Amino acid sequence: MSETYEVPDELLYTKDHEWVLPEKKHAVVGITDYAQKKLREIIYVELPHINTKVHAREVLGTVESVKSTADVLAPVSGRVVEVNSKLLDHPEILNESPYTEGWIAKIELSDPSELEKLLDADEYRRFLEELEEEKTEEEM
Amino acid sequence: MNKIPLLDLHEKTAKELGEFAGWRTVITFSTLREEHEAVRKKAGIFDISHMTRTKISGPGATKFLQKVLTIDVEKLKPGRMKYSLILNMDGGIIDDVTVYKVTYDSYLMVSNALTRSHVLEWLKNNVDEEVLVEDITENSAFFAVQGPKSSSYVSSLVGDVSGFKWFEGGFRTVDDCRLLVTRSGYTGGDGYELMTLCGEQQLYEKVWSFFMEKGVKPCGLACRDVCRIEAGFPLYGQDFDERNDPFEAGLFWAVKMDKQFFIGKEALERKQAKGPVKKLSLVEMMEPGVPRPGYKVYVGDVEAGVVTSGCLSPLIGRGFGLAYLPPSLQVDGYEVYVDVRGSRRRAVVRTKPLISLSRP
Repeated sequence: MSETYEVPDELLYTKDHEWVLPEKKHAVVGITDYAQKKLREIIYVELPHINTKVHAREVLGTVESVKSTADVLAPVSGRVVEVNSKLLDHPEILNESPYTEGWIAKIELSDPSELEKLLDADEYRRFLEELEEEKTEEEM
Repeated sequence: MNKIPLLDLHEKTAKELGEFAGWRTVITFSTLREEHEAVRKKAGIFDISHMTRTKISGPGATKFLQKVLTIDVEKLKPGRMKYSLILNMDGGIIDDVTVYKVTYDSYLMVSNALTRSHVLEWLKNNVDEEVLVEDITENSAFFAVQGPKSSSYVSSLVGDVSGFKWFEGGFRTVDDCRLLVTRSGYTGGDGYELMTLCGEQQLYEKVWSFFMEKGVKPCGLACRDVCRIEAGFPLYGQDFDERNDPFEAGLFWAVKMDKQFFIGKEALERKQAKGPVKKLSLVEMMEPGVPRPGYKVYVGDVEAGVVTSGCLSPLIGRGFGLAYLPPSLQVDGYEVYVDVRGSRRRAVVRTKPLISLSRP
């Protein structure tokens, strides 16, 4: 039973399954389709406060699903300028629309060169394939 | 792995299947949100065929159960059910069960899936002459219709059962086959449980499909878990097990100490004098976060206990769970802190669950 995961071409990705949409000096971030499918039904989201300064790979927020809890790590460093507060009342948006309606926060980049370290869509797709292969091997 | 009899049917509609206590079963049919709402506002149906069902009968049945159960089985009337514990000699809990009295010498017992072989072995090792213990788990199906509207749905299948008191039941017939229908459940709200006592796949499907066609929402074990946590019901193997006694598990109310003898009584008499050092308690989060098993609970800066199960309760929109805490903290509103992955979140002890049945 292999599942397919949506990976839009125009986004950048981390190996922790966050996505980044660069917008000039800012970056919109969220979690990938793979992340939401692995977590299954998301029941609760904790967002950062506006103006919080985050470093890349620090905890930006938390996503709770029916059975587990996952940190959302900041893919890039900077200052949080906007959060998607709609998620507080409707965490299910993260399952329904992880790449658009389900964005988590907008970060003002403190070091735009960090974007270069992220994976592009092809690299992220290959990374997912490797993960799935490892999983299949473990099952065998 | 065992699989519940209707698994193939459920597989067509369920969202997530999974394993529970050695059984392949349904975790979610649709979403937890929708399923929970149905159970709390209307009616939902759970397939709980994984639970162990045992028939205990014969001239020595009452005397035998009087020995292995903590309740007074002699006082139980036919047509009534009671919650009980099975203890070992040290007072540790082997399982928690419900027992329905069919006649003066015949009973139907429901116990946990997790403990199936252990309980059956325990019963057989302690069995008396003239008692028959039969595991009927794999020759039957078991459904729970739960929610405020459950009475009318169940009545529309088996005839009027709205007059049943809580934990009262009786036999009803569907397709010439007997079903045990009891007003009972594990959600903290009103509900009925239906156990087939004959018939096969075809009958099980007929009963399940009847409720589907009526619009009763199919619900999985994830929803069942949230409902039982809201009701403050501990789950064997999760919140307590054989290492715990009834005092710790908060289940001493199910022990009849004035009964002449039962296995574990002597040990409990000794323990009762000392009192437990920890007791299963209810904890409600006042700050964001979902209490999860293993999370530590603090009073001020001092570690006081540990969470054993928890959920985000849709009833209150906050985290709610069960935790072992010192008995002295059993004060409603007592302030504690739950360590949610490194961040201490304010919570309070609750002495009442979020939902409890105003008994029909």
